[in-house]
Amino acid sequence: MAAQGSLIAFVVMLFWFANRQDQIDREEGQAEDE
Amino acid sequence: MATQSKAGSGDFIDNLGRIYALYTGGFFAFVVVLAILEQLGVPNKFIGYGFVFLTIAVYALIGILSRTAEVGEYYVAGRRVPAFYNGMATGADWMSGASFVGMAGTLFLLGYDGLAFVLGWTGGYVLVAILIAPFLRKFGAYTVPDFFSERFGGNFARFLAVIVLICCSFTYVTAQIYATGIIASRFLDINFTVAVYVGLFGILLCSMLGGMKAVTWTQVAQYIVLIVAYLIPVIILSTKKYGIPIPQLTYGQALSDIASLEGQMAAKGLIATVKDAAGAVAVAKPHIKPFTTYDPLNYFALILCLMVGTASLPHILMRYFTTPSVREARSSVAWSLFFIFLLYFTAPAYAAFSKLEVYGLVAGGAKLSELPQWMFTYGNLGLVKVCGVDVKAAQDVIAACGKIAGHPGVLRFQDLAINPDVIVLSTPEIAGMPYVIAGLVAAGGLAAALSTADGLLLAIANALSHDIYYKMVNPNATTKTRLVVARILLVVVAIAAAYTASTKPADILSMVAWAFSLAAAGIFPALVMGIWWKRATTAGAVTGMILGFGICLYYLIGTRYFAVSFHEMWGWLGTASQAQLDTFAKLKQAWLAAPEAGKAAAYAALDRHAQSIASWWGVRNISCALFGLPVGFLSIWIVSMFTAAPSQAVQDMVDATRRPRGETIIKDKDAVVVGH
Repeated sequence: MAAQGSLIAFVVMLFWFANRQDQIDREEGQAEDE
Repeated sequence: MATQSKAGSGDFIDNLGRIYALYTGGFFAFVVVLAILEQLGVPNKFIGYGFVFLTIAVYALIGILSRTAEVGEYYVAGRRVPAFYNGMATGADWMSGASFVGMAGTLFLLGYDGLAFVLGWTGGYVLVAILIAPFLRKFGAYTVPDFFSERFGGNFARFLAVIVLICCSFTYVTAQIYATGIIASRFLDINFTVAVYVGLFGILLCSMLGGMKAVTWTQVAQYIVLIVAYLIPVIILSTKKYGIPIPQLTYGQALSDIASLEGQMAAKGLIATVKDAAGAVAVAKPHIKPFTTYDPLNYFALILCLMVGTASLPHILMRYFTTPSVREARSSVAWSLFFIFLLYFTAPAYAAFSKLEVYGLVAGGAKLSELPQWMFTYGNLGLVKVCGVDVKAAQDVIAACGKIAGHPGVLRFQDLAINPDVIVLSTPEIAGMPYVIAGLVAAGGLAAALSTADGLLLAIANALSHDIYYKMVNPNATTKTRLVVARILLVVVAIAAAYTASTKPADILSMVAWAFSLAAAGIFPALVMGIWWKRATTAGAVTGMILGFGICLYYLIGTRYFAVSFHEMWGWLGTASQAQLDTFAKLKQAWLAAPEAGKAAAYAALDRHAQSIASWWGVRNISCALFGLPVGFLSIWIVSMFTAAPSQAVQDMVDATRRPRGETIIKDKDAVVVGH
């Protein structure tokens, strides 16, 4: 099951990364305009 | 079906959800209609025709509706593909014939060790999202080599990137066309060579007129077909066996049933067994036991190479050039992995259910005179062997098994050799499902192979037309000429790949796995250092690419084609046992002493043995990037430190690449929409 678990971890990690990085970009004024 | 809306207009992008929902509904209705027709007695052959021709016709229609005369549309789909749909398109682009047709098969044969592929091919997306994709999107390149040229000032770095790109993509595309040919010849009942060109025609119709734009929207459609086709058979199997339609939940149950069947077969002598230290009989290769095929070093090396290779394959990276913003490029990688996950999460269950069916057949004591029909169907294509002969006629099989000492006269698991590529295609037939399910799976496999072939062909043709022709040969070419050249090159590359595939080159097919290591060693170090280290210089990058790629290629070719001399030169680094070394010496003596007529055969035996022992530290050649990566990174670092730092302009450019806000770095005069 380790491999199955890693897949879920990868997917969750990427969504979290995309949101968090965007949040940081906005706080630092580096984000693109909508 | 539901793609009448004029592709490319603002309307189309706004209505994507409705259009693809209609399309998915239409596809389900189509499957239901064929299922009804089958029940009414329409011959299987026509059901097969229906699936193959109608799905190709729909892809072609989307391709034609998305035709374009704009460079920005042709190369990067106008940079307005929403993250969600780009994720779906990447899923189809990524999941090749190998993933769809071969992954469950590999897991079927290798059991636990096959999971290295699942991990490597998904973990790579984490690298793509964090290290590469958003930055390349901000860069605003049309192709991956564009980045190399801009960052490492000049066409030499660009040229090297094009070489690596073609080396890894061409073998890969050949394998896709080969897979298309296998499926089309099985379900259309036509000659393999003809089938290859039928597949080629389908591929070209999708990509030629609309380039990236057409490929994007067909890939979304192909993803829907392939995921439906993959999930339905496993859901049916899971429901039939355990009454729960979620295969991931019943997978554990299937695994324990597999283990108990393995025990039963071992007791009856129907599966290869070994005696353990205590003298007890054990199954030689239990499904769930780790490291039966790879030792831990090779297992983790393979995962690393596949991960890094995934993050370096140009046809994947270029998909992220099409999103409207850097923000969407990031979330698009997440969506890509989600859509890939849907299939990969199911693959181990698919393999387990399929193995369960075959074990059930063997454990039940199948008589050689009563082999099931599916063995003959695929045996005729040379893909299923029993006792070493293709299953074509029952008496041949009985004769072949009769020659094996102590054969019990019923099918043993070790007698059966199924080509991993037919596991997925044949499972519906193995499990005795209606033919319409087999046709559906074929349509899915076809979609997977076609979509990947499209993406790869476009990557190769764009590198030739944009990087070589426009940037290096004729920078003054007009938009019209550029697009004409791009299309001609696409057709030329496609025909070359189809011709290669039609010769059934065994070598090329085994080389596909090499593409990952080659891409990893040739592209990854320079790409990552270029983005993440301002001090990386042109000389450093060029040296790193040449040395990293070179050492990987040397190891691959050395251990595969010149194994004897490779072993003689590097034997001191190898891990061969004394017994293996003695065998080598003995075979070498036999070859030297052999008479003229027997030389070739003696050498072949020597070479075969040498291939199994020629290595550095026992690393398999599929993982050659294990050497290429450190060499690449180190040489970029060392040479960069000895050369003058890049100019301030280049350093500022790298800095700008890392900030999502602002204009793209490369500004194309004829791009339609570039960023916001």
